[in-house]
Amino acid sequence: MSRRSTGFALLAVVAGAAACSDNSATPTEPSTLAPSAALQETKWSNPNAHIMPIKSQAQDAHNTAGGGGGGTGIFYHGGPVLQSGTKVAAVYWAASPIFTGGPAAGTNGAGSGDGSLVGFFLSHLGGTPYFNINSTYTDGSGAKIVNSVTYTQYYANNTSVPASGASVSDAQMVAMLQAAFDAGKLTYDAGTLYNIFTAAKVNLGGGFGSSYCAYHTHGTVTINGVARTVLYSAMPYNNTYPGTCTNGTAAPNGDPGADAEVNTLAHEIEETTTDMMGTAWFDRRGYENADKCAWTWGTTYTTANGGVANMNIGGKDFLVQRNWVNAGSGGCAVKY
Amino acid sequence: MTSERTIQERGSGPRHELLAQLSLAMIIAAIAASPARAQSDARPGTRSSASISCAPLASSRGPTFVWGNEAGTLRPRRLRLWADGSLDDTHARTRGRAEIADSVRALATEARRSAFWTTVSPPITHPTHNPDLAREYVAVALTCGHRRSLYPVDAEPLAFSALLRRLNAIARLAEAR
Repeated sequence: MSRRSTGFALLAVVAGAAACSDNSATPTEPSTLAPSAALQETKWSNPNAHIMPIKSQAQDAHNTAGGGGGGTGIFYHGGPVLQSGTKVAAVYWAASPIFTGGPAAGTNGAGSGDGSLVGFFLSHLGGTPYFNINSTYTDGSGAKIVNSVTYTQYYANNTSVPASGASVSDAQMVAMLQAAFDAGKLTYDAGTLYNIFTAAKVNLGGGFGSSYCAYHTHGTVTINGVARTVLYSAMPYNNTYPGTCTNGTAAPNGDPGADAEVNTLAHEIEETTTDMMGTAWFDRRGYENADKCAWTWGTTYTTANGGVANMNIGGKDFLVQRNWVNAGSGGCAVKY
Repeated sequence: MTSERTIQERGSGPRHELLAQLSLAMIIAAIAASPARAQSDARPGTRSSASISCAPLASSRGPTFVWGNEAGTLRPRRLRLWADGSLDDTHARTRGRAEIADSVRALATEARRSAFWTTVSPPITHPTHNPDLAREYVAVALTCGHRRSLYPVDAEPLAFSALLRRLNAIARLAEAR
């Protein structure tokens, strides 16, 4: 390149850059709300943010995963399920009964001793056409999930009770379960979902009412010196936030707290049954079975007391979200 | 020395050396000015070519902002905000007001200039660490283009959550009457 052409090239670069840097004064547009400086930042706000796989990686995962799902809209990813039947326990972590008719504080025993509406729901959920939807899912060998839920035990734990407004972490929940196992108040079982209930306004998990209404997960406890996985759900008192954690309709059993709670309780039991570790059944958006139908009811009816329900379980009416049927072309339903 | 030899080989005396230094200084100045421009674009309240051609979508063509939450166990919510200032909050709709319309216009401009416009939501293909966490979304429709972002509630970038806060503030104002 000649000296002259080099000079022109330099001038062109400089001129171009200068044009890009044009920063002419401009009038301020009207705004009734103060602009936010934070809006300009790109920094991630949460160090725990998950890095998700890119699309091609996700598709590879679907292609190589065992099991199927076919055209039902949900896929098996090889992880464990509660195939032979789901066992549930209730842990009422409060100074007094959380739900009407619930077990007295400090007591523990078989599920049949729980007189609350939540206890009734847990005792009658197995074998219903509603829970039978989960039998459309299989384990890695292709064996169908059994339509069975057994309410094995409860513990009305009134020790170290979280105060109203207190935030309770997962570590604290696992520590509470560990203490209950150690004290013999609860019996450990790897295939049992321990549902932890707390009283109104307790922020169980730290994001209650703003991030979720309930959730299922798992932790590690030590049983006879051996580290074991424990399945549990955080079940804060949903009626604390009627606008975000209940359907807002009249309670079919006249028990607003328990009537609302069974909806998310069913959600967690169904998801634990088919995706206990987050590695079994979910769709391409990361939705588990109950996620795909959350807050949808199908056909509802008015109960004798003026409440709204969509199903009858064991002789009582309930309003419980639909669940995803993993058969045919898939879809939300209240029975199968 | 090698450097002296190089200069002598490339140049032809002090005049050429001065020209070379001047050119270098201009390039550095131009590069230094680029971030200044970027900052200017990001500064709310200033007008650029983008803001002139990027207006909120006309109300007859749809809402300028749609946001809310979906997935997980939190009850879904969807809000829609139109250029005329009217707001639709899942079921109820409030009528538009001039001051709300002004806010919509200002926030649309800000959203276009901010990092929100360039955020790319990571595809969510597996359950999150808490599979029942809600996911929040914001969609912006302008005459020059549109954006939609979605994140689990604990994984939102600051630009996203800041815009969400501003939208919720406008919604509270709109619903105040």
